Amino acid sequence: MLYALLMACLLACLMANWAGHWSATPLFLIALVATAIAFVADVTTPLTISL
Amino acid sequence: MRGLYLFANLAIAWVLLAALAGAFFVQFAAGEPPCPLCVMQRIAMMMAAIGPCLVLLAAEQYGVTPRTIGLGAGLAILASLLGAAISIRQILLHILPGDRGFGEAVLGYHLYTWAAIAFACNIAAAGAQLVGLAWYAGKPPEPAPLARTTAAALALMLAANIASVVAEAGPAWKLPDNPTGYLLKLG
Repeated sequence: MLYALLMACLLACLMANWAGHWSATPLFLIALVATAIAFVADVTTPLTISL
Repeated sequence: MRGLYLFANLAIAWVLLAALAGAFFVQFAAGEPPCPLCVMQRIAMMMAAIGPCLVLLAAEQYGVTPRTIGLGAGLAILASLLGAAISIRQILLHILPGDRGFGEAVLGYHLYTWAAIAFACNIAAAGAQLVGLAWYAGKPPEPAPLARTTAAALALMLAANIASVVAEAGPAWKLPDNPTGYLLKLG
């Protein structure tokens, strides 16, 4: 669900972009920062599989 | 130069879309549901495609100007840096001798290695566009060919990935580290 929300934010960004709305860039940056946080959380969480 | 910028952004967007379609093909043809890092790389790749889409869509309203090209290339670089960090993380997870990597290799490399190459090329392409701005003054608004088709294809790709992730994660907040199937149960 977390990743679905991130992609929904990107979809909203694309639609805002399409409509020429000012909110496209802030939505992009929100999705970017949220994905970066999700990545850091993934890196700092111990894996549940053995490599 | 306007035509060159439009062609470059169109080509970049469609190459990224083709790579994402290839990931879907591997997901369904080889029966390999994507892991969390794979999904994050897809998100970064779709994010990187939004930059070129911005340039194409803005051509009609604002024109192909140094401002829109700079914004599109900047967004593409930011997304590609994040995507490269994620794919390099996954490469390093499987770098030890004897590790066969996650999933099947395609043309000798795993998908996350191809993703790292794609992100590096995207950063280079965006950098070249920014350098070219030194010789480009901009053009007045005029619709760009295939702009809406490209944006629609990206929107479709985003919707398909949302559906895929919801099917894979089911009601869970996060994806399993090593997914083997789809957790969403209907009915």
